[in-house]
Amino acid sequence: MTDKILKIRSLKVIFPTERGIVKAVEGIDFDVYKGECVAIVGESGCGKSVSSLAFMRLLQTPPAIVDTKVHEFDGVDIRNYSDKQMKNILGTKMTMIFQDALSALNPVIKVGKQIDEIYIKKLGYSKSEAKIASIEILRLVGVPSPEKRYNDYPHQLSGGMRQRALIGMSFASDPKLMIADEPTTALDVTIEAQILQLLKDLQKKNDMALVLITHDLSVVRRVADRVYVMYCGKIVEEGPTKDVFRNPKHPYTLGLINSMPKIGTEKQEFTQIPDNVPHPLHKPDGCYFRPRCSNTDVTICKNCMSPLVDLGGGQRVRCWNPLKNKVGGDK
Amino acid sequence: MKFDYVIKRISHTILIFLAVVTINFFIPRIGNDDPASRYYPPQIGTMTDEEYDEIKALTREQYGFDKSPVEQYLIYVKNLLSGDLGNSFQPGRPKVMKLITERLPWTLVLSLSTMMISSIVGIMYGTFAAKKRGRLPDTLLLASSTLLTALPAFIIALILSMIIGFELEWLPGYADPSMMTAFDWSFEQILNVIRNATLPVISMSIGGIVGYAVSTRNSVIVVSSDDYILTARAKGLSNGRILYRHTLTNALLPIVTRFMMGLSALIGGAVVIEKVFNWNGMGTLFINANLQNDYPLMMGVMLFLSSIALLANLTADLLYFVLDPRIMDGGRR
Amino acid sequence: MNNTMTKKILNPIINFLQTIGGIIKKTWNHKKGRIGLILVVLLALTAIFAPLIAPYDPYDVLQRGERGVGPSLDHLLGTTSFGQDIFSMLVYGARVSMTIGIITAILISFTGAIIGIAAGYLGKLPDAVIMRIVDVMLVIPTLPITIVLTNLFGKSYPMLIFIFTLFGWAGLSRVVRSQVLTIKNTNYVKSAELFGGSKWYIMTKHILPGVSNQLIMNTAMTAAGVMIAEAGLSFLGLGNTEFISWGKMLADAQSSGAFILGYWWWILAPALGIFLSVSSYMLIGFSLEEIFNPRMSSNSSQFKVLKTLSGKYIQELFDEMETIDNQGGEHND
Repeated sequence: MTDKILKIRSLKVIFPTERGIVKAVEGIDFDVYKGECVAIVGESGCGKSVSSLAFMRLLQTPPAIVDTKVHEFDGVDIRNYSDKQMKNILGTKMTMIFQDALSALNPVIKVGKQIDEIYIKKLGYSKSEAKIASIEILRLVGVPSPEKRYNDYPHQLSGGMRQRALIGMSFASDPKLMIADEPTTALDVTIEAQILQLLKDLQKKNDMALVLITHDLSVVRRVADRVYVMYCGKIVEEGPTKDVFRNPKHPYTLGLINSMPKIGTEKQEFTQIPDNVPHPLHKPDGCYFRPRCSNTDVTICKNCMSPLVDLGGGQRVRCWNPLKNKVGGDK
Repeated sequence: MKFDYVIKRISHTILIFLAVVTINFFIPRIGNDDPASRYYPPQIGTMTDEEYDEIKALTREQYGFDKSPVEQYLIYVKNLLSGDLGNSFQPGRPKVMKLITERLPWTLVLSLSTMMISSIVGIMYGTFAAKKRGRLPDTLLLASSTLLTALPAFIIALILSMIIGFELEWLPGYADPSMMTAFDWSFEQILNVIRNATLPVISMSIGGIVGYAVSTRNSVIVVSSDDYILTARAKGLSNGRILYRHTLTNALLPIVTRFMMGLSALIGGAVVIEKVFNWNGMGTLFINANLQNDYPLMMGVMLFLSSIALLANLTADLLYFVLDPRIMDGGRR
Repeated sequence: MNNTMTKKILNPIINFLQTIGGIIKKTWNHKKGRIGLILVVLLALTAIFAPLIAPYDPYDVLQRGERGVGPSLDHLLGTTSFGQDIFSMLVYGARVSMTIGIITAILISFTGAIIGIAAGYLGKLPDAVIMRIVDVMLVIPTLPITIVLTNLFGKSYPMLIFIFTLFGWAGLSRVVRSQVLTIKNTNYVKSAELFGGSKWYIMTKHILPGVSNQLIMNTAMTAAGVMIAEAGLSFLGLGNTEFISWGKMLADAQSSGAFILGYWWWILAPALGIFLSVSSYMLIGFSLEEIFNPRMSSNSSQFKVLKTLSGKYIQELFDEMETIDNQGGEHND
């Protein structure tokens, strides 16, 4: 028995296009322990969403080509699992929720029926049993008047309600691992807080592992036990959330943390990371972050990329010149 | 609230119908000193002048040509409501409505069969092509679509009639002239109709199949990249379930509209096909009416065809209303 | 004074020609478009230089040859039952098709664009009225109404073009209108309005360019459609009989018993003519669509790209990604 629910070694995803091969994910290692909350954070295009799809082997070839050295779910090697075998795990033990609940739900089927689908098709319930269970799940995730909402169509629910329904649908089968891709990005801040709390509660309730994909560091800080920072398809830093936030080792991480607007007593300038994320087809030589890095007096950065170096305490960083400063709590 | 849409569509349809009726009223009456003259049946050789004058007077009486235009219009509408479209010029001056209802089923045989075959085969192939995107079934479809759109149905009909009908003689190139009169719902006769209808239906269906297939293929491809299909896959549902319950229920929505519109287009287009095969449907009825300047019959058929088109549109809209829950809340997709 | 005036008139024309030139270039670079363009040019040349290309003058009764012979050296595509050389007829027939097609298409595009832009941009009452009219026109079946109107008002070519245009603009204006509705809400139009641009100014300088792509594409497709309609009409014997048209050739062939006598060349030649001319415009239209709306078909190239990649190359790519991390030492569990 293992204490990891998901173990990924060297995940690579490429997308061949007419204009060149897009290297979306360039060999990442990823672990999720049972019951923990792990976040993958990064800007748009860094490969975090693609990675999450790859975790569930949902990427299709074409257009993607995927390769992994190790891909284990709950200790079982699923690298060569057939479509059918994957369908046994998906939706039951491993589930996923997406950012925009309106587009993630089938617009012409009632919400309740879409939840029923899990019970009937994956868990063997009868139609009437499923209906009862679906209403209960809706209640559990905090949807008021679940009996009425059961008969609604997705477009008739509010954003927060929809997201709850989506979460309910993914939670119905008691999954061991839930992957949430930007679950709160489309929601108002107050609703966001509620949804995050809901996810934490569900985690506790069933000892469920949660992988949170987001570009919002404040979300990470609130709920994640560990965090992986991704940039241009590579993991540049990983570690327990507290440590990474207090002592970021990679300049990019520091930049992300500093660009979070903070409420404080002094007025500060907005710090920005200069320039833009490189185009996926034209990644720089050497370290991908070098063009934007303020720490690049090291010529080696221009020629090759650093490997991920273990710094102890679960923290790893991909930098020839990792930061040594401590970031104060009030900055 | 919910039925606002339905009421709107129905009242819209009635409005358009009135407009069409009015246009239908005016067309034969313009550009002529004595509009009534168009409605006088031709003077047959054996008729004396007095007899002919009497007929002319009767005709004027029937359509109200001696009265004011407004009254004429009212007479026209009144007749319409009781299903009276006037009298044809054919010998015996039969009622237009009667002629239409006699010939209509024969046109419908062709049109409805074509619609069924085109849509079913087309949708099936389109879904298949979408699944095998980029491979032979798909490229074949796209190539033939480019080619076939340039081949109007009646050209296909002529070629098929020539090759299969007359050269190879596998199926009749000309419809059996006694088919209509000999029809008595017996198995033998039904078979005969099928035999005769095969080439016309195939000619019309080929374009239709390709059309439905391309639309379905495109729609399925678009829907397949929608997020809820990803959700369905993440739920671990079987491929069959994803296809039928999720993909097709969404992808086929626009095809439904196409289906209903197709009916009206088919009936209009059947006119030409009927000539190729000498098929005695409403098309040939109309052509002959035209050759004989039989205005009551011509305008009657026109009104009939327009009404069918209107009904088809209305049905398509209502079907959409039933199938797409987003419409009832006032939103258009 | 005169200089600025002429400039005002010349500039838009020059811009227009430049845009057209650019589009032609893009079409040429597109596989389908190139074939279409070549065909159009060939057909246009055939039409213009018909007397030089055709070996006989099909209108000249004295130039008739033997009746009903198949293709031979004397008569490349055989002769009709009246002794006319079919190849010559084919060549001359291009004149009718190509001219009617393009003239009508341009007129329809013009009318449809103006009305569509007016309806879409002006909104409210003009929009409501125009759209109702469009609805009515779309309900009336085109071929039958054309037959009725040619019966009443004559079959001259100008009349035909007029009738086609009269019923052709409706569909286009709807499409244009919906595009206008989208453009209307874009920021650059809104800021032009804020700057006090007159309605006319905005419609011509901002909205029109936005829909021009759609218009040009539509012109090509409409031309194809008109040619099919004209062929169908002539085939029914209801078109203009003054000049040779491919549709009429088919009608004559059928009524002269070409099927029964086996004169397949009489059927195939005009069918080929219709097919080629319609294809030419349609290919251009299709390639324009792909150029302006690059979407679906181009994605199947992803599959091709995948096929061309060698497994070895991919493996090298993957190894490259791994080597960096192998240096740092792997996770040891």
